[in-house]
Amino acid sequence: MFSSLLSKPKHSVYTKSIQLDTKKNTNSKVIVVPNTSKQTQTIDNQSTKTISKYYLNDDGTLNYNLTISSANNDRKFHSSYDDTIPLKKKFPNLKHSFPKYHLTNSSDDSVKTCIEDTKAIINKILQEKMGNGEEVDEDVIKYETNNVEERGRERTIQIKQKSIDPMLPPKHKLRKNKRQETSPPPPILKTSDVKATKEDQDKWKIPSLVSNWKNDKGFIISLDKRVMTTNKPDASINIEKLSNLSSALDQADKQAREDIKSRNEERKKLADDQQRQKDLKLQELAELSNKRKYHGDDRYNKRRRE
Amino acid sequence: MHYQDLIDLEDPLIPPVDEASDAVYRASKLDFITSTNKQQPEEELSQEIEENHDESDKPKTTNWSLLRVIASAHTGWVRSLTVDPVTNKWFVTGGSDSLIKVWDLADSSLKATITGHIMAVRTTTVSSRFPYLFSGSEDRTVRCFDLERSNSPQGCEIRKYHGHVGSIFTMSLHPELDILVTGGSDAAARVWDIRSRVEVMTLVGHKNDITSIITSETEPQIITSSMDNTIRLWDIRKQSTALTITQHSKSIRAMIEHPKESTFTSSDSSGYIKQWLTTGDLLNEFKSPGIINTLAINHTNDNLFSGHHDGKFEIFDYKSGRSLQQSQTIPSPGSDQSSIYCSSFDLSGLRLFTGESDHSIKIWGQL
Repeated sequence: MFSSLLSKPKHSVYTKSIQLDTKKNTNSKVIVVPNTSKQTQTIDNQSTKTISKYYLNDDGTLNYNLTISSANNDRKFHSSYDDTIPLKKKFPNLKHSFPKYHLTNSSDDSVKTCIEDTKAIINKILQEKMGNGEEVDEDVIKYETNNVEERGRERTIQIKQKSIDPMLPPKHKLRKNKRQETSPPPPILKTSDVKATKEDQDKWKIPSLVSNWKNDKGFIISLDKRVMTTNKPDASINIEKLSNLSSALDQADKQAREDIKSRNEERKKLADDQQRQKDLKLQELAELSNKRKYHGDDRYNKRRRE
Repeated sequence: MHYQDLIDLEDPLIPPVDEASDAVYRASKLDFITSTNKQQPEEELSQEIEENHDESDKPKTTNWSLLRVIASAHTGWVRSLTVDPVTNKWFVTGGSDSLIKVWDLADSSLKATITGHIMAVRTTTVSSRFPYLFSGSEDRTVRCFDLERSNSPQGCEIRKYHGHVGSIFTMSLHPELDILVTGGSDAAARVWDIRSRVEVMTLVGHKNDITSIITSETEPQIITSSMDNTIRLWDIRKQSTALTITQHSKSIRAMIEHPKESTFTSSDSSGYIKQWLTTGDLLNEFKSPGIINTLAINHTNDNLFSGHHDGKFEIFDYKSGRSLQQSQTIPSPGSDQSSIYCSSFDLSGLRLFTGESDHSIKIWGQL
């Protein structure tokens, strides 16, 4: 089914007969129209508007050239696959001799008549356009329709140029292209009555710029951040390992700080203990000496006395 | 007319290859070489030519190589190039700097600069019957310059053709009648009467920019190629399309007529080159991959030049379609790539001129 949609193989036989679908045209008329060169059949087609007649070859295949050209005022068309085969491929022994005919080298006067015809036509158009030629008032043509029912009936049509008064006022008034207002009206900007709170003000604070080139406040930029900002990620630098390293370093730093803190606390405790013991000792000594003052003197004197 | 009317496969009446004219051509070539390079002894040259004559049946390759560069010929891309069709002594270029310059063909000196256009000049044509130069531009005007007054202080512009509603990409002069056919981005080919500046006909039918126009004295008198992938052969006596060729599948950027044969060649932007008879029958097709910007035909030895957008170029044998040379232009210092926009062989077929996007004109010759 889909093979018909594919393009044809390059070296296949390029002529393929196309069979018309006979079921559709069972009730349509078949008229044999004698052509100038050979007999061709026509089938009237009521279903489509563009092509009114199908022309058939003698063997019943569709004659594309005649069919399309009859629908388009007998113009020439490239319609068969045959037209896409270069002549040099079709005829390998083709002699490359296609002389160009000028006025000087043509055998008959076909070139001359062609040029003169064209010249006459161009002159006629020129005279019409420049408005100084003789006015052709009327033209009588004979007209025959393509319609099959009215074949053979000829009509004579007279074509007249409708004269126009050049002094008439212009039909169309030229208007200035006024500027239109746009459909949603443009917004009017006003200062708001609401005062900015502290939070709003904080939102507008933009942190100071830190970069490889400008770092006024001397922030430390970690290595992985520096690597990330460079344009091309360098394959030689392993960002993952670097980030691991920096996080490990961070952790170690934290640990060390904690250790130092705990050690300092312990030392302070120890020093406090020692101070307290010293104080107690001193207190004891002071008490002792006070006792000696009150009681010990008696004892001392007693001993002296003894 | 069908191609079978034009050719007969086994016709004894078709004359054999015209050796006399070939000899005349070779003698003129000899004269040309001896007049420019007088140091070379004549005997060597004649020997070379005899050798060439013996090898005429064997497959040949060409060796076109860069001889001279006119660097910064324009201050923009060089978009059009036309060799004087009568005397073969000068050539005309039009550039994106809206200037037209006339150069000496032999020593590449600037002969005249023609101003007048206000946007890029896309096409130039020199009449073979009058001393007139026609130019079409992106400013939507076609102008006619009298070359005999090219250095006068008043300027040499004598006519202006108004009517196009888009930029003009191509034009062609009818070989016998006094009409000029122009086409461009408004998708209509307009036929002008040269003398009275009246737009005689408007050939409407293309759906996109018209890229090249061929005119000839026999039917079809006008052939146009377009960016809508079609070529149209026009019957200007009826002012309608006689045949539409739809066999290209990409936009056609270049189409050229063989000056001595009733054949023409078109190339599209996918690199397909197709040769046609003027009846509209496909004669031959071959491929030169890439976007082809320009074609040129050397009628003396039937070589076909195709210049690409990426700076490559290829030279084919016109009759067989065999590739003879594949090469690349050398961009001027300061530009890393140079696309070939226009090309032309001179009348003797010894020099090739290309106008490129590195603002330079390059002159090629066979070594």
